[in-house]
Amino acid sequence: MSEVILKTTDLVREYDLPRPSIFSKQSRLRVLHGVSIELAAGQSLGIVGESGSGKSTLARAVMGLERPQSGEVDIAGRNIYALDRTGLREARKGFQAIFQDPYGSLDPRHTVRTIISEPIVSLERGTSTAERNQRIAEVLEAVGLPLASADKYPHEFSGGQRQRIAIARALITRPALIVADEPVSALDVSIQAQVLNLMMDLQERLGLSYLFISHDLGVVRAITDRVAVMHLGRIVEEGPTNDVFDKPRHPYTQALVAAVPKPFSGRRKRVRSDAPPQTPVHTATTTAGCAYAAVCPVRQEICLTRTPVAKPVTPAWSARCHFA
Amino acid sequence: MTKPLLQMAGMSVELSAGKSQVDIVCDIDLELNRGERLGIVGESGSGKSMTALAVMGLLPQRMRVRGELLFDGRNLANLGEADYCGYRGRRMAMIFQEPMTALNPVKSIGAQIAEGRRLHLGETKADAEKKARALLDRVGLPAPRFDLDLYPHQLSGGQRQRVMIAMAIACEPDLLIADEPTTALDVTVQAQILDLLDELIEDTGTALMLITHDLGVVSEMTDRIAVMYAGRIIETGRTDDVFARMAHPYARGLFAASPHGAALAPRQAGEGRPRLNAIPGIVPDPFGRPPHCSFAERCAFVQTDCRHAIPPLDLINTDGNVPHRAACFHPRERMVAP
Repeated sequence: MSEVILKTTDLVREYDLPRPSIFSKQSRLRVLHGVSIELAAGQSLGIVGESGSGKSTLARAVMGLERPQSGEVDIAGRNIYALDRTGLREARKGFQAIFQDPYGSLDPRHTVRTIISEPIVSLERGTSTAERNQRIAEVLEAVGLPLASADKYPHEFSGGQRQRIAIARALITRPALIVADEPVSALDVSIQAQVLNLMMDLQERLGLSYLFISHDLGVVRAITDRVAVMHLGRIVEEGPTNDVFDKPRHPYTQALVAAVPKPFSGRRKRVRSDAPPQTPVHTATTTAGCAYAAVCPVRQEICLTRTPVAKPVTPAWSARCHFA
Repeated sequence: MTKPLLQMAGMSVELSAGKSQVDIVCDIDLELNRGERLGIVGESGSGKSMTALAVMGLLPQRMRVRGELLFDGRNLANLGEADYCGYRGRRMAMIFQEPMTALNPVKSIGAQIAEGRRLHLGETKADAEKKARALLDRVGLPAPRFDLDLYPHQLSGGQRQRVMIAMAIACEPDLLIADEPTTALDVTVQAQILDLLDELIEDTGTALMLITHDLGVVSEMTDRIAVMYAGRIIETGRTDDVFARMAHPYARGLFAASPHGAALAPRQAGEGRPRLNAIPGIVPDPFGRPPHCSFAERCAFVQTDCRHAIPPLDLINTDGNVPHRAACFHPRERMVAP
């Protein structure tokens, strides 16, 4: 196994819930229940799950934006939450983010030059103007935008081009790890393919590692080597992307994969169910039993009493289910 | 043969911007029979939503409809607002993409569902609410958990979309237009909503116009599809026929670019990751559409005649009773089955 660029150990993140009265006890919502992931340098790891599964919270914890209550985030061997301010600033050069909304994540009043150079201005103080300009030219070229775009404003670009600008901004500090939170969800299919291809090209050229968060299984399959499936703040299955999607072992992953409508599958085969639609709920703390048991088709007695542990399917593939 | 429920002939949607005018949607010929399911596929800016809004008479103020838009034999193009109100909600209803913004946040869901029946059918409040209760049960939101006096913010996205569907079917419309009904939802919830729509259409015999960019969704839900690009229909036919051939290079490109398509190509060990087949370039701006085939600039099979005229929507196959048409001078042959 090659060098590990990102490793999280038992991340727990809880949010305070609003108190019904000032005298009532503070209650909390646990959004991450001890999440551990590992990403090897030069590889990409996909995180899939539905809204509310905690995938964006995980991204924010990895980016050092939200301190988890417990657990560690090690990037290139350093625990980023143990670093002091200057240390974290230094470390941030090594990991950057791309966000979902190409319209909201670029300041409309700044030129592309200002937007792209912001990470060097704030993280690499004392860089000369000449070097800064050269780096801007370098990243614009890398993402396939003409040099003249540097003096334009974000509104002059289409959605796909804006996402290229966001990628250029992430690349300018020459990071090793990029956390991409739903980077192509807001784009049309043909543009989405262009941006995904660009991300793959950059990965091969610059040896980047991606933590790629998406709800779109097709997109994740196209760009990642390994995938972790999240359900209610827990990783329920993790393994090589193609294996997990072809032969999912956890019932939740199976439900996800089966739910995606596929072309050429002919008319829809309905699953008739008289049960009212289930909405998954986070629990305040860890309770005994499997969190998926309420809706699981293969539920047994044991699922309600014992919390499943990650069971290896192969050395590189594990599922958190008693019957995997 | 009976008349189609909805018939568009040479319909265009015109946008006036200052002194200039531009057609956002050009020359649409489309028919929809009772009980039929039509899918409209395209990317943003292709005019698919504008076509739907034109049918519903909900176009923004600066836009107007030209040409024929017949609903049950009556031309709706530029019909007065008062007359339109008799159709909208009663004979045709729409499900919008964003269940978060399409519901009124300060009215209870019961009142919102009952509103149509009280306005269109003159029912009393008590009767309409009884019907609303039955509708909520029908869309899978049973009492007592889902009471009529809940407000939209108390529901999840999928539940809100169910409420939207209940509102749309309240007056048993002849035509149901669903504009990206599941785009904002998670896949498992999407599957539930598609199942529900499928079941309702089968039971009520409503015609469905389903607008989506997801080829998987149209493939599973529709009988016929129309693929739109830059304001025009570029390919139309029976869903199975279109998927089997994809005669227009854009239809083919759209399919190849979608990760569904990529998933079909196995990865080669040792080599780099296979790339998606992206379509180069971007959709032309409505104000700068060329006077020839609007896909010519992005097309891999472009020839000189493509840059001389706009290709008509020609018949490419007459097998079966639903014609398969494509607007291309050089339509592709049958695709190798994936």
